[in-house]
Amino acid sequence: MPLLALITDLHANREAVEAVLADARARGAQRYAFLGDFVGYGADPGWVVDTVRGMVNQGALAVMGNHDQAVVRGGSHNMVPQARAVAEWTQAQLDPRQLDFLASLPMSVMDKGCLFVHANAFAPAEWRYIQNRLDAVRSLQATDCRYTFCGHVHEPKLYHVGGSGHSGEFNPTPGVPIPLSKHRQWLALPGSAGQPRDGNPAASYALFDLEASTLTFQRVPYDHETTAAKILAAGLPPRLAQRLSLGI
Amino acid sequence: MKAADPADDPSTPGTGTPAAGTQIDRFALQALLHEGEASQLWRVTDTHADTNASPPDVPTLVLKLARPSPDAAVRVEVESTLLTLLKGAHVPALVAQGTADGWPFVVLEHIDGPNLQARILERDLPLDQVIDLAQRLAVALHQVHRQGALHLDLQPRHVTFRADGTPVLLGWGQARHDQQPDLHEQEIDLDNGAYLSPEQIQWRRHDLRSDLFGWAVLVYEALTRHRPFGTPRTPQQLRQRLDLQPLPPRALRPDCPGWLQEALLRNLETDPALRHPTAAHLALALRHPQAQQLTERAEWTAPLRGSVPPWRLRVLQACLPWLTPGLGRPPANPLPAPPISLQLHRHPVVVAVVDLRHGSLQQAAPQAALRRQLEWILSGAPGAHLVCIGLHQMDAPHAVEDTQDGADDEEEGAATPLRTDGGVPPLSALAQLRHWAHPLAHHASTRHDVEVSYHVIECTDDDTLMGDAAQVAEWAAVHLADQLVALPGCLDAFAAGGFPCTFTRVHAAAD
Repeated sequence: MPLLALITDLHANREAVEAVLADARARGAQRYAFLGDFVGYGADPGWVVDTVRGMVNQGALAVMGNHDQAVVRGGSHNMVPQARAVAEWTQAQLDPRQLDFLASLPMSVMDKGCLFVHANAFAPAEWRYIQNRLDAVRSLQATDCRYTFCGHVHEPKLYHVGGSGHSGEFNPTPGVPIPLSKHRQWLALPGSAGQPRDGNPAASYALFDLEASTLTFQRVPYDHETTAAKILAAGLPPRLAQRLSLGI
Repeated sequence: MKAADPADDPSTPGTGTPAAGTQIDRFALQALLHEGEASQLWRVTDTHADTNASPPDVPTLVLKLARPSPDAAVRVEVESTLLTLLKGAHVPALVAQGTADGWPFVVLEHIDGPNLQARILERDLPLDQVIDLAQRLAVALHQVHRQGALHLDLQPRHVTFRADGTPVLLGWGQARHDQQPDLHEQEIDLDNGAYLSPEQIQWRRHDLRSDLFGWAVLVYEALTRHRPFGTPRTPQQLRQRLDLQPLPPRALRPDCPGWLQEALLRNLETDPALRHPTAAHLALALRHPQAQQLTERAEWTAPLRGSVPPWRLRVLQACLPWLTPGLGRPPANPLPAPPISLQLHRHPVVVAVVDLRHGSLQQAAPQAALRRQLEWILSGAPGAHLVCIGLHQMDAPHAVEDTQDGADDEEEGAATPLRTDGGVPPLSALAQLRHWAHPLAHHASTRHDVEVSYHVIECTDDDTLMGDAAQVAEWAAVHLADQLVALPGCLDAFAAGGFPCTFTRVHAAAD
């Protein structure tokens, strides 16, 4: 299987997505999996949706995120007011074909022993976060897939559990390949491409080599000043622009 | 969400074990060297190797194949991952890795020396060999710690030796690395209970001082042919062991020097904070035993309250485990572990190079700038070991000695020649050095947990600056220094990339 790029939480950030795709291509990525939240927070929802849709047409995987659902069906009751307001603004920016694409996204995809889902495996539509290893173990117990790839949480993280129930968690070092033992189950959070929140403003994604069973987290600096200027120009909340430079 | 039946998965591992003559990947199995619970070790030949090469050029290889169980497979996978990341003479070279019938294997260089277990079983090791082993092992551990790895499974059969005596650490299946997930985070390997540190049996696998505990058990066993805490194998026996004091090595091996006993008992402490902070600090103490600050335990020769002789230990561990609670369960959400690199950075070996020649000490402003720079460095590394090195002209009065604040310094005066003209004798090099460092050492000892020691290097040819600097560079490499700090001049000739560690050249501010 070729090198698979795992990209999630793009959040209508064109500059970050362009930088991530260029980096993934340069590193040899041949397949792409988009783990949801293509829109919300950012000023370029149309460009991001068109880009993902074009890549899906060429064989990429994509699943639905809570922000994508909010745009096509309205925000859920537990969505923060700011995100709900941006969802309404985003809906007005998208044409019917773009909205149809978001509405058609599946909640999860299983392929070659891998589960791709935005939030978790135990209740994908409830959008509960994987915030600690207990959440991760619960998600891993809900699937037979050896590898689960999730978005939703904007910080890169890796969890694992063995057959005897022993679990572990790990904060990955960018650029260092991690062999994923075939004798454990793994849950990987590649981190957000469009709105990182771990204190590092560089866009985050991961590359998975299923043949070698290695996962490599990557960070890509991008022109977040331009992104922030677009958010302000669009009249979106200034806080959404400021946080990009801090990665919070 | 259920995937397809694993039985349909072509990658589902098999359960068979290979026989001699079988070929795995490009390696032909020759002879089974060892069969353990987790793996088999085979001597193999590489069928792709150059068959025309003469025997010394044909590498001897071993193949470690996981037994057909997930736990065994994870061990071999961890070993494979760690050996991919580690370099140097203290680890075996990784030749290949892969899977056979679904189970992982690694192919390593074969190191043909007897392992430490065989040496210990064979006979009492001479004291000088034990001391050499202790020093070399400490260096080996620091070299792997510097690369972000902890071994966490030191035991005699995991130490072997190259032809030149360099120890090689084997058995990396329980190790962890800063840049990799810890696959044994919630596990305790009871089979190796004799060598596990107290914190490992309390579910903490991130502390580099765990390897120093393993070092102490290993050297203790090499010295006395007894394990300091016997051979606990059950959770109760391991828990019970936390409350025991080891028998002083000198009670079993009277020729053990006090400083070695001090180092062993210090690193067998239950609380890791009472051990040496890093293997580099330990190696420094072993290389300069006269500079160690000894406590009364260096002199112990008889069992103390709480220490248990080997025979009683066996009785205790056989009869009383039911009195002791077990090890409990691992924490569900443990606190993040500090990286190994951070643990090292908190305890660097900082070398201050002080030129005692040419009246350099009379230049107040540069000397003050050098001391100030060192204060800044030490304030950011309160657990550092500061080594003050004095460069001394050979034909001047001197005392070549290693001392530490508080240690006896009997030879200092003896090396200073007597004067017959009735004048005040010149200060020895060591006294000059200690006087220079006093404000710094006093400040360090009152505000921080900094150890300070002093060494004088004889400079044989005043005109050969490169020679002086080369001596300092060699000293820094041998003593695992992290940082050299000096004024301009004395080391400049060597500064263009020749030092084995960071070199800071301090320029005083212009008036």
